Amino acid sequence: MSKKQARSQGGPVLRKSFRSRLRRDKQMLLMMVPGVLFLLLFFYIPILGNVIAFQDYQPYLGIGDSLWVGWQNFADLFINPDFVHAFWNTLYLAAWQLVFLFPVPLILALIVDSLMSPRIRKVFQSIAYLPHFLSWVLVIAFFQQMLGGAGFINNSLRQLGMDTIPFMTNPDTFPVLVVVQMIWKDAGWAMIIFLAALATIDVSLYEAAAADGAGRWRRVWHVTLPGLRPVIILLLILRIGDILSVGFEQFILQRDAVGAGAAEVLDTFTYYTGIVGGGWSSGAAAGLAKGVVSLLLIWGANKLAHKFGEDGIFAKKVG
Amino acid sequence: MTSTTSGQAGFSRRGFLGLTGLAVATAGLAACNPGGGSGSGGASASSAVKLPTYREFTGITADIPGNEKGLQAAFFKLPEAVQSVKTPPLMGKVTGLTETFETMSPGMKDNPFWQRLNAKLGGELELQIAEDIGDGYPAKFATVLASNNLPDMMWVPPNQGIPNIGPMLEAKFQDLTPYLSGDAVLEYPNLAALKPDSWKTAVVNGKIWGAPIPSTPFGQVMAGRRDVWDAVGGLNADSADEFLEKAKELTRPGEQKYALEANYTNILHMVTEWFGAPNGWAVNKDRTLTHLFETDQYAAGIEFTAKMFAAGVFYPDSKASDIRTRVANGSIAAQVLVGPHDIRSYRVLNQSAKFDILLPFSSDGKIKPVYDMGYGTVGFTPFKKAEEGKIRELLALINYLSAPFGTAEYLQKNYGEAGQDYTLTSDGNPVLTESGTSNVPGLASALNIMASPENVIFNPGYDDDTRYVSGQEQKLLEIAWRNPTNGSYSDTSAKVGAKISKQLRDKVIDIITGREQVGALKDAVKRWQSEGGNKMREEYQAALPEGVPVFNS
Repeated sequence: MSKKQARSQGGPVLRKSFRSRLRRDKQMLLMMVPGVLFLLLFFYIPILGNVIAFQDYQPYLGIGDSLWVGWQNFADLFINPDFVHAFWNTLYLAAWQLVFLFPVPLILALIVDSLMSPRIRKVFQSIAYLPHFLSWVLVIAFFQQMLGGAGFINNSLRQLGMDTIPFMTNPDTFPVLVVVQMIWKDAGWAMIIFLAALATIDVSLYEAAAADGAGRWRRVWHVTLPGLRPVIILLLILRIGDILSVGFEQFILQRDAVGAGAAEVLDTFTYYTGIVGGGWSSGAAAGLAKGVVSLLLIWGANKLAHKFGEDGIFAKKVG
Repeated sequence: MTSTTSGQAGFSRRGFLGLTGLAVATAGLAACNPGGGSGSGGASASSAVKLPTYREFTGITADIPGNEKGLQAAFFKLPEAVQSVKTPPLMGKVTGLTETFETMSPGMKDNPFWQRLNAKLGGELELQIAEDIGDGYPAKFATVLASNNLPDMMWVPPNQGIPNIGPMLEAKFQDLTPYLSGDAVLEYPNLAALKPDSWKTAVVNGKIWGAPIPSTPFGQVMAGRRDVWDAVGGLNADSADEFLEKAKELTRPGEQKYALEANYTNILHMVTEWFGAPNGWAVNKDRTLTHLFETDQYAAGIEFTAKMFAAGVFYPDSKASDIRTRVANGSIAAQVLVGPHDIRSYRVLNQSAKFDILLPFSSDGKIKPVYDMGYGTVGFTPFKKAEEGKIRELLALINYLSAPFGTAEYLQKNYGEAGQDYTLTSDGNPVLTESGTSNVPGLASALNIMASPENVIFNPGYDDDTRYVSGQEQKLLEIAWRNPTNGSYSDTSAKVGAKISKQLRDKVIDIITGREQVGALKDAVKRWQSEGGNKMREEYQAALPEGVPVFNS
């Protein structure tokens, strides 16, 4: 923001201060160049490709020669029952994730933080991180081996002469399955940020609280959680902006097992419409609509954070 | 790997058909069949185009001759190789886009088999090879197309859902009609040996766009181990219910034994044959068309398959990737194969057991069962627009790569160089060497999917299999039906066919697995009709050739 203020102060002042600042920050700026180029090349320039959402895009004609259709793709999209279904299903699954997935890394971090022995702590941390590095294909294969129709648990049940449980194929319990898989894979990884934030909390606060007679839970409530509040709010906002991206591989891999009714989300819809079905333009329209909604959500969440006196992701003022 | 797997055509197409699911019997396939061209105004042009003159390859004689009804010629062993190409086809570097259905081979620099092939071709054949993963090829194809940096040749699989083939070809690819129509093809004798039925694939908007890539003309069959099924009286039945009884007997979950693989779409395809459902479309007496999805037989087939699902005879893991192994070792009693010849794929896994191919039977003893023939080709390979010299070079290359079974070129392309990539057994059949095993299959598969001769039945070392497959093919031909729209073109089908079939098939799987009631089919069919099915019908009806018989079972 300070840059903006500087600019509004008028030409000569700006140039001078800009130059001097340039000299001062030369090394920093140089270090940023690769990152900025990367963002430009792989994120910002491809954004221009979104114009195909307003065309009847055909890959053999290219963007230059494809016909313009205006808002037609969007109009078609919003009356397409599959899109509407995918949209609501995405929100439904996102709600599950928000309520049951979001708090897990926080709880994990509190547990790890309370472990006394550094060795146990390290082992626990490593075990919790590792699944993050497995691809979804492997994770789903693992779940299939354990919980699938021919998996370990169901085979054991069969051998005991009991009925099997359709963990992997029951569309009604699919959200639970999805959340469990996500916790297994990513909760440990997501814990890192909370652990880092925990480390910044002043130990003397705990000591003071303890001295005042606060028990374990009271210390968590009155010291730890308030200390983590900015991080929690930041992550929550990021999560809300990302809420329509509930995942892709995880769903496409399990779509056949539970049916499109339970597993179709916006990303799989975009994929089937755009790439498999050859409807590049309607796929792009769906993707763009999703992007716009996400942007609004993140903006709204950030506003809300400011209302509660938090920084959010874009602080109001640079302190 | 033994010579068995890389046998006749060097690729298994397991993924190819797996990808398109029920392709053989549905609009998904007819969907993109670029034949004549009605909606795009190509119908009359299409009938006017003169297909390339057919001149059979007479250099070798088959042990069991084929016939024009579709029976494939069969060979017990590799004949003495005949030279079919006199001069090396290439003058410089040629590029192409294709796909492999085997594990990817090492790149050209590290692949002596590839280098030796280049030496024989007289130039450098550089290929971008996509792998058979998910919906990989159409996506790869579309991105290469959009990049506007096209290789000289690109394999076009019409039944993998590449949309709008007609305008795409006109915009980017070379019209090969002057080079191939009528007697012009005789300059390329190996292309002249491709059958007229195969050539129809490569005709779009009344023009010939490339040489077709023949595959087996047969469609999916159910196969299983004979000794497993003998315990319940054999892999056959007098009625659908009897089949279900047998399947129940074979299913013993406690022992990890199941009757059927969990590919519901493919099993449903088999079941609808027992119920006498048409292959894609039925031609009515008044020459109108009824789609498979709209028939009572299809609905009855779904209902029965749902009954089988409820009875628990399907293997409980629909994601399993080891079905072939499980059928070979007897823990799953039956699966669906791309065609009768495919039982050879069991031989790597099990050299001793006998494998049976189910002949479709009547679901109730009264209905006439049918057998659905396949599409017959895996598409064609058009060339990027270029001047005549380049086009002739590419045609000579495809001519080389389409050399018939029994030629030196066929051997070079599928097995490589004797002594280096393969050795001959005492009875004269090729077996890949260690180096050959790692270098050949991936590339041979990629070459075979972009250029191939007419297929033959060839199971080196398993003469009984060859005889059995040939015999079953003859019996299947007696009840066989071809999709009447094969060789016709529908714009709507090319545009939305794949999408609306997918919508319907998702619903069908829901019904089979009990997530939806049978009644849901009606609405799904109505949606299919209104979102393109009815238009496809009109277009196909207008393009329907007179010779196509009325469906009467």
